[in-house]
Amino acid sequence: MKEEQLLAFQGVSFAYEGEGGAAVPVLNGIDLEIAKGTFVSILGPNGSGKSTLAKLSNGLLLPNEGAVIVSGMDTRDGELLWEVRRHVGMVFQNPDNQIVGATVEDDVAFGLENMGVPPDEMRRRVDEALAAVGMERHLHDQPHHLSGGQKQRVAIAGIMAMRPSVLILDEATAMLDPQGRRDVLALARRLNREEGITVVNITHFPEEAVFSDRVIVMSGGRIELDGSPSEVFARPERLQELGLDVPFAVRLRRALADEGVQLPFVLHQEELVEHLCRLLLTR
Amino acid sequence: MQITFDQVSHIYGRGTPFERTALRDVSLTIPAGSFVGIIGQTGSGKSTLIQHLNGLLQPTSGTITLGDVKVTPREKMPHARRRDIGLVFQYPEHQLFEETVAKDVAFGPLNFDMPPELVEVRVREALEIVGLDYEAVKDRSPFHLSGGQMRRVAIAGVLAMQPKVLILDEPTAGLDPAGRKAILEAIYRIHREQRLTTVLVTHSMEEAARYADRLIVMAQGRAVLEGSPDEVFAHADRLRELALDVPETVALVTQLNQRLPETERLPSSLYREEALIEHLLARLSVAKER
Repeated sequence: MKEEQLLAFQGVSFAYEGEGGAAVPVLNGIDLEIAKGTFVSILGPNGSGKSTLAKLSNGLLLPNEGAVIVSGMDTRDGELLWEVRRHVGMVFQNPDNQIVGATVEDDVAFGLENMGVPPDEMRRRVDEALAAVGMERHLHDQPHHLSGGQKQRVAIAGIMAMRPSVLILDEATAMLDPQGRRDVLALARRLNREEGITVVNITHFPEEAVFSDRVIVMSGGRIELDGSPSEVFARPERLQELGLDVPFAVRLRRALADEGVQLPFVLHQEELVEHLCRLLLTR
Repeated sequence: MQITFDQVSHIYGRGTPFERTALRDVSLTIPAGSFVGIIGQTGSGKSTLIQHLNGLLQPTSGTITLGDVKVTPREKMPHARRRDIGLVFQYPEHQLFEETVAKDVAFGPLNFDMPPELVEVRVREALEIVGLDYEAVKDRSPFHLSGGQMRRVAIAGVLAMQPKVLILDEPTAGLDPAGRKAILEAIYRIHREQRLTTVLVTHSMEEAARYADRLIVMAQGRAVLEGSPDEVFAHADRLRELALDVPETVALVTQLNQRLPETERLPSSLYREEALIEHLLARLSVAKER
């Protein structure tokens, strides 16, 4: 049986209007299918089209050419737009553009109220989402009294509480401190594993991508690399050419290999420790 | 310019139901010419701290000394001194507003009554420091530049004032690795060339390890650790308690040392990636030759 494709880009091109009205192409002929239940990371330099891809996924932008299909629904069909957006929840980088509630709990409950979720269920989901992002103590706080990172966690809780079938994190961890980043990623991974939510994590942090099922690398509006983390990170020189970073373990192994100290391919730091220990002890 | 904090506290909304203590008895020293990294969780007081450095906030109690100027709850920072202290906020590109890049960068210097001929020179220099071609960008709208370029224009606006102290609040947030590196290398270069005192607020332990010669760790409004990077990173357990990371280099050395016999352990000073690689190569390459 064919895997169920939750999100499909079919020959999608997109351009925006630049200085002087000239069309600036952002995406060129993207063909991409994302299977239900996968955790996909998208890496790419600024301006490579990652965020445009995200905005096309829930109809915030519509393709100039081709089609974007969400669970069988074409995003160009205006009547389905509400349903498309319920399926595809998106968290952006800038928290100040995403907060609407007068208190933290109101903000998280906002989407649920619009969806008509019953009060008991709403209470449970709001508390759970806030606990998951480590903001449960701020239930009654006013969002504008929170710092940038705290606001972002509230915004993420608001989307998470709606349990979309696809959660798109558009550099949502960019402003969080290390603990905040770990919490949010752990939450996304848990939702993916336990609730079967498909996660698309757009990020500049290669360490976030090593835990994905699939890594897509964008450059100049095209898909440059697409594969498992070990397939993609096995080509550090290509990634570095694109101005991208690779995980620390990959970088360190490569630097040693360049000087003739060979280690097997590693993705995670624990594996690197293992190999290095062995080497240091047998010298 | 040396900056010292002596028992500085800051309370927001004192006497209101929203009263909140953001800084508690903070005493610290930022030596002249140093590159100081400030690290700490969201809400630990980092942003409140740096807003005291250029007079945007005044202490509720305590004294801040900047060179020969004292700031206390009653004595404000003189206008002239504020010009010596350049503060680059988080997402500074949100504060761009002028029609052209050159006008935007010139706004600060003109505001401090610098002569227009001199302003043009400063604008050109500042844009070149951040790696933008003056001729290519001067007449463009800042809003048609890429995110990374807009960030650089905003930083150039602060550099054009030729501050003696440069304070940056997460200047690389949201940029791709190439953009992060370009901005930090530019900052590091100008820090050395112009002998600035530089304060970098960052969530990235890697950035702190690479550029700072001194670190201050904030937690719940207090400066809880202060020292050279290897002194601070030696408290890996304390950092983890504070929900902070150690750089990946330090984590690797710690993990290796837990498993290696005492005679084989790595020194804890290897927090810069180059130093760690060099050390490993020195030990492992020798092994190969035998």
